[in-house]
Amino acid sequence: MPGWTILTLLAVTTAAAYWVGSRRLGLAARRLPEAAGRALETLGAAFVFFAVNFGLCVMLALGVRSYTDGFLSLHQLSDWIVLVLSLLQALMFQAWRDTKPARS
Amino acid sequence: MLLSIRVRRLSAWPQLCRALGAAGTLAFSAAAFTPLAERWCELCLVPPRLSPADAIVVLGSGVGSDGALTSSGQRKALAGIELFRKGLAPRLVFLGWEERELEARRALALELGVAPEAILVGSSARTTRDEAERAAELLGRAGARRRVLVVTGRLHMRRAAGLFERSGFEVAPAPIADVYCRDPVPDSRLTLMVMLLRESAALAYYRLAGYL
Repeated sequence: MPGWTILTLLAVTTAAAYWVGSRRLGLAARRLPEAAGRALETLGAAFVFFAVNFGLCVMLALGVRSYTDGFLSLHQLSDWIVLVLSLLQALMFQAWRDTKPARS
Repeated sequence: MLLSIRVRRLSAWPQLCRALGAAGTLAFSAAAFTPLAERWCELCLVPPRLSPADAIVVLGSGVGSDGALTSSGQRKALAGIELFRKGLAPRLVFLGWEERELEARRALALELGVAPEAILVGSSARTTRDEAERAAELLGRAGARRRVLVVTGRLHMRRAAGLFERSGFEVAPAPIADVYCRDPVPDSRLTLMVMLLRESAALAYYRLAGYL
């Protein structure tokens, strides 16, 4: 699908979500920047998890090659699945952080 | 004191993550919606130089879980066979790790009219570096260790050619058309970007390790 089609669809669903949020659910528009910040924070946490997971994968592959007769291909390890699972880890971690009571 | 440093570090977590998240979102958007990957891809390509050589060396691609040649493996084998049939070299070398991949390629070559005595097969080569070493052994034994046509993927060619040159060969690159640099669809651009990052990381690793 061409890029402009995807962006147009995203613009339409974003506008619809904004309408549902503000009109139906009564969410405050002034809190949107805060929400965007939280979304970026979760994404950033996913990148941290991905970097750690990927780094461990590389170390494991190189370790197996160096210290055993076995072989682990780096091509097989650098998979989309690591990125998706890292995102899940980040979502879980951020949700867990949110359960921490605020300091008074 | 130690506790206050730890608490301060933990409070930096949201800022760090937000900065990383913003950078990641920008990088993702640039990769998917701008021609960045296409331009980078064009810079990485090694142009083909198809000229007579002592041997045609086809690099490995592995086999699928069903034991059949992968699409890339089949393309490389066919490209090598085509060069052989054009008379560009008297020997056709198939390299790789698994016996079944090499057997499948050999069978394909025989079926397409390549003489059995012209085919050399080098197994136990798991990495590109192994393949260069294996080719040097095989062709050295066959007395043809000088100029080779190397058949591999377009993005892989730079690393492969460097390694073969380091093993004493004069390399004529014969890249297969496995990657198309000018596909403006976001999904293709992202796939291309992943391939470019992967190959760049491999190239960096080979340089750091002193293989190149």
